[in-house]
Amino acid sequence: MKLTNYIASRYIGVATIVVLVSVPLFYIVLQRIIWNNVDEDLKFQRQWLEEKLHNTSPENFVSFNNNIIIRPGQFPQQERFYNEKLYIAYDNEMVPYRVLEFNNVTNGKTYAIRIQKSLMESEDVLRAIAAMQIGVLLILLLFLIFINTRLRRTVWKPFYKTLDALNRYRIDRDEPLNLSDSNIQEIENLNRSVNELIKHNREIFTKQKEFTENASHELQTPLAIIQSDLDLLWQTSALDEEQMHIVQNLSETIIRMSKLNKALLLLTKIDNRQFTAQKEIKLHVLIKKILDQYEDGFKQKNIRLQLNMDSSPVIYADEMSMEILFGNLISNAYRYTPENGNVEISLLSTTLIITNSAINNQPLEKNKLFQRFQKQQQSSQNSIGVGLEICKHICFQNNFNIQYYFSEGRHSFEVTFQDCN
Amino acid sequence: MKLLIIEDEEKLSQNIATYLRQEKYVCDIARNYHEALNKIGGFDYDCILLDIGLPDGNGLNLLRELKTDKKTDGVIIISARNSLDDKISGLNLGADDYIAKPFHLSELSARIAAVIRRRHFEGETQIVVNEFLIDTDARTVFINGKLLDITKTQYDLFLYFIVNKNRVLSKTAIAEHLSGDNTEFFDNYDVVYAHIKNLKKKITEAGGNDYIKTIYGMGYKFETK
Repeated sequence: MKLTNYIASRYIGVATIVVLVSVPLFYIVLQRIIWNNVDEDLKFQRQWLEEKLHNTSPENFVSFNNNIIIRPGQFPQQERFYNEKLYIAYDNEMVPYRVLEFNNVTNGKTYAIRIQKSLMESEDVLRAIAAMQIGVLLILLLFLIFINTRLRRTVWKPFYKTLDALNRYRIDRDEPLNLSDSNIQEIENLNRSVNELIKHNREIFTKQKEFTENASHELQTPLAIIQSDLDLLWQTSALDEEQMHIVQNLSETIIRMSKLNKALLLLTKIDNRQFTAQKEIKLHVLIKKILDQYEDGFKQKNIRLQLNMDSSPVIYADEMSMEILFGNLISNAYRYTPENGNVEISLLSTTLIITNSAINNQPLEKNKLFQRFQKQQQSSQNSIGVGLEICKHICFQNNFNIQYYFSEGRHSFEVTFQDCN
Repeated sequence: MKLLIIEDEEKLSQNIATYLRQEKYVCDIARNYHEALNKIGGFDYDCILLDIGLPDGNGLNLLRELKTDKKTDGVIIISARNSLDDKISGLNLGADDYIAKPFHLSELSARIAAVIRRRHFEGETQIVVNEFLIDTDARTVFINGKLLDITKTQYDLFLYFIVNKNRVLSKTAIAEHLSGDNTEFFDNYDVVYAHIKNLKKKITEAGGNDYIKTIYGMGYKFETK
């Protein structure tokens, strides 16, 4: 529920309760006041009447509109006020009356006297007042709703703008979040805080990225020194088999570290969008070019390569990053195919599928697949564990889709792209 | 042959110099931009190894300096930044080759030899070692004047051995050399082993001596007396 609607519903709820309670209450209270006034008036008339009866015979008493009725006899109560509806032939309707009954003793005789007063006018006034009250409250409600809608459109607009901008903001994209000024103080404060927060986060993010980059670079020189030391050691004639083995291991470890550095640098570069030399690339040409490098390797492992290149799609992308993407996938297929296995590469108009026979008939763990340093059980000793993450990042930057599936003892990687033809 | 090593890491420049001096190169070392500038101004070198990450000035500026002076020295860029931009701008500025840290000294040696060959065209495109004649222009090998039928990869491998003759080459160095930019490829050495086996076979079949010695299955050496 939107904040404005929440507030409005509370306002309207309370206002409705106030209307429902206050109007009847107001009506009743006003009615009592009127009755009290009428009663006072009736009492005054009684006083006036009793004085009058001292010198006039009660039998001859005449009053306007028959509002005073004097009869010989006695009421059970000495004095009683009550309401009564009487039929008035002139208006042809029932009219409410306030009645005062009392007993009076004149010239030794007891009379039952009744004084009545029409409540018609005051009831009309009362109803009119109540109706007006309801009307005013209804208008108030309407205005409340109206103001609320207007507030949402105008006052809350910058808030929703901020929210929208935050929704779209990604720290790894290079667009700054510029929230505009607002003349509402709270929004202004919010925007300033958000701008500060984002600025700070961006600085940290950039620093961290630069750290990865610099650390990777700086590590290459010490590695180069170790490597050159090992190369010199390698040339000394006194090395026996065991020592040579140790040097060999060291050398391989250096290569692995250096590859790791390069892979991390590559990831940083992809995320920094430094591969921007977009051009048209014929995919079948690129794939063949990559496969040429693996010719010896496939032959060595006796892997049968099946190429289905029925389509020749053209993509618009950075050539270097495409070479890395498809190179990594083909390299994986080469490395994780058992000897005498087979690799199948199918190029369709918007899809490239690379399928290879699995070493142990086990699917790869999907949740680890595209994650950094998450090695699979079947990963090779020399695996760094970033190749597929690099693929994923390149696909993400190019709006490609990459998927893995396993069926009938074969791993498949499927890349979906846009054909520019 | 005279080389200049421009490198701020003293240990690395010393190691490079030690290795290359054994190859009968004369090596000068410059530790910073100014030293390098002085040496380039004073002497002519056959090849300059240039680390572009110098503390007191960008190595690429040094390269610019060299090229505006119309010096004909060959230049190999050494970089810790395995960055394509550096590579492209370096090669555009007239560098002959680019090598990323860390590297094998045997690889560096092969690159230097290639640069020097390219710089001294006349008569230098042919290398003669015992019964072998290598034409680096046509990328062919002759044994006792007879053309040896080998693949492109086998030629690369043979040249690598010749340039680093009497040196122990580790199989990692050979694998890296053969795989080139595509370093992901050779992480098993079976391919290296297969290529060497085939090369040896072709050489002996063509009547050449088998100079390639295996050292404990971990390294190889082209041994000539």
